[in-house]
Amino acid sequence: MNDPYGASSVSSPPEQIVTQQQNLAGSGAASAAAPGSGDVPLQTLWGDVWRRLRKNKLAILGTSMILTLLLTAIFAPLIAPYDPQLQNLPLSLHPPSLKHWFGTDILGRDYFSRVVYGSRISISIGIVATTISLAIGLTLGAVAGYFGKATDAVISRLGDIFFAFPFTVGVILILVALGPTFPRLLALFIAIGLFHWASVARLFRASILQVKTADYVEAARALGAGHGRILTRHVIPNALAPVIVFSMISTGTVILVEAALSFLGFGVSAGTPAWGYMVSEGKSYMTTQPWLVLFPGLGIVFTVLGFIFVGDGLRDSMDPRLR
Amino acid sequence: MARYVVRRLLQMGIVFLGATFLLFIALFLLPGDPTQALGSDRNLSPEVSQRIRERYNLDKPVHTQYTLYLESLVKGDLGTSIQLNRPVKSILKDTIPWSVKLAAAAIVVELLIGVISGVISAVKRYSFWDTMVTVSTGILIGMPVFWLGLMLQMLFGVQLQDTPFRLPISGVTEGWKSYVLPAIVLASVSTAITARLTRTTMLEVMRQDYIRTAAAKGLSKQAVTYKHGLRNALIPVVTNLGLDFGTFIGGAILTETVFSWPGVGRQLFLGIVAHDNPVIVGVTILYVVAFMAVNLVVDISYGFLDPRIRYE
Repeated sequence: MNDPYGASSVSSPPEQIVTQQQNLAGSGAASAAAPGSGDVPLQTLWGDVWRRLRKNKLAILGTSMILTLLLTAIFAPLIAPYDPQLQNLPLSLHPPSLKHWFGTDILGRDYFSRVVYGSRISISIGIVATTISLAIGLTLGAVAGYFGKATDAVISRLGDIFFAFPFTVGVILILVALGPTFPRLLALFIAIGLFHWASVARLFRASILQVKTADYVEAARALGAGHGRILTRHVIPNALAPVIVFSMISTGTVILVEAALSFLGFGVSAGTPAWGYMVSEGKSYMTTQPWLVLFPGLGIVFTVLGFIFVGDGLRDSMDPRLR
Repeated sequence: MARYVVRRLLQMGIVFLGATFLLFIALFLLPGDPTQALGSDRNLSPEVSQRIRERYNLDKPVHTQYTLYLESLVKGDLGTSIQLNRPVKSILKDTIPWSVKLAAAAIVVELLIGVISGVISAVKRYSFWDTMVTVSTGILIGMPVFWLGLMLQMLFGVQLQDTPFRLPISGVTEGWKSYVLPAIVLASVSTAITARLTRTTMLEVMRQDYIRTAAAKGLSKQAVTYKHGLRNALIPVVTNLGLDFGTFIGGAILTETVFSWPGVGRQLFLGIVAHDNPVIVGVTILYVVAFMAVNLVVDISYGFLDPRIRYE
């Protein structure tokens, strides 16, 4: 992995790298190889994290689950045995069989193919909406935490405004306001991103506040580094750890919210094979054709679980005291 | 302390104005005519539609609508539902108790299951039970609330129909039994988070010096774990429960919709579907205020629970 601490850079003396490692990694002096002691290689925080992550069974399981899903989403046309929109009315509501693994829905569409295609919606919403909230939240959080004072007050209150709405309710209001003619996926990206950045900003701001008082930041300032350099080279890389964990778990949350919105009828447009929407379509036939609710739900659980496992694994690798 | 509360109240005021203004912009942008929803499949005549628009101030620009609303809000008037032709205040009066009761039931579930499994997990660290708790809390967090609701309905309402384990799957007609499934579903995610939080804080507390002191002076393992350990570990857990109460009231839209629970969340859902702006605004304002109030109370209670915390 890269060395985000710039070990070779003049403004970050080796002593501080070690201190930082002990603070963040919390693994005690043992794991922090003393720099300059000859044959012992210099280890960075991310090196440590990577080493522990590879040993973390949960993280490996989560990663393989996410990879499986990504591959399913990308190669959906190859995996799905039928066209997910192909209607075959004589086959309406058939139970799972060898020809149709997950049975068929009311219009006789192959349910397995629809569940496979559903991964595309969930994965793309999860990744894009999280990226949008990260972009907004990281920028505003860094600015608020680093500059403080009035800037902080304005950004923090702005965040509080979005924070004060229950997440699902806020997103529904924006979705409804954008209207049914607005492209649905884009609307979901905007609505979720708009209400999710505040959590990222709050977390990153707190993390920046902690890092910016560190000695190595002071040292960089004393050496004449400007705000831009201090932020991008010293403060932000060191403050990122909690946000990375959060972003994994929040991708899961975003996927859950999208499913809930589509279930309530505010998400994807009618007929789209999205898991949440499929559950809401299937619930009318729940008592006699339970697979219509079961399979898309399992898809959601599988996906979200993958992201949670990776997030948990990352957290444990960054802060092993709690395991 | 007083200064802190005053500053917080001022901040809350700003956030309240910002959040409600955001809400008004969103509703103003809302396409479609709220009056047309009244005529269901038949179109209202333009004159009738216009009269209704005037009555609800829908013909005015957004900032005028906003200030007019704030004016009547100060007088304690929350407006009238377009769809039900009933004061929003009386709608809230009917629905709030149901939501609060459901939230209270969910807190009980969270406290019992979450805290107990968290303690077991911490005390028997790395055991089979610990792994079980970690895995099942992960699954609970990853499970969509509405899907869990449907699954439980299928199990307890359909599969176990003719057994004593049958539970009502909608409405509130069967006394305490009606609460069981909705409360479990509403509490599911928070219970998992509480279990994990209890485990973490418990493990952290057990590493403290005073625990070692207690053990060194010869106290039994039980006394050390429960009297000294658990009591201190519960502080963050209890504050978290407080925050969850706010979340339960604001987060019940899915649970209440799935279980046809006559609370505020379902009312909001119906309001959004019917384009009933006064209801949407009323319920959302209630959520925003409840959220801010619970946060303030929790932040202040930190100081009482942990005297080391000082307010600037």
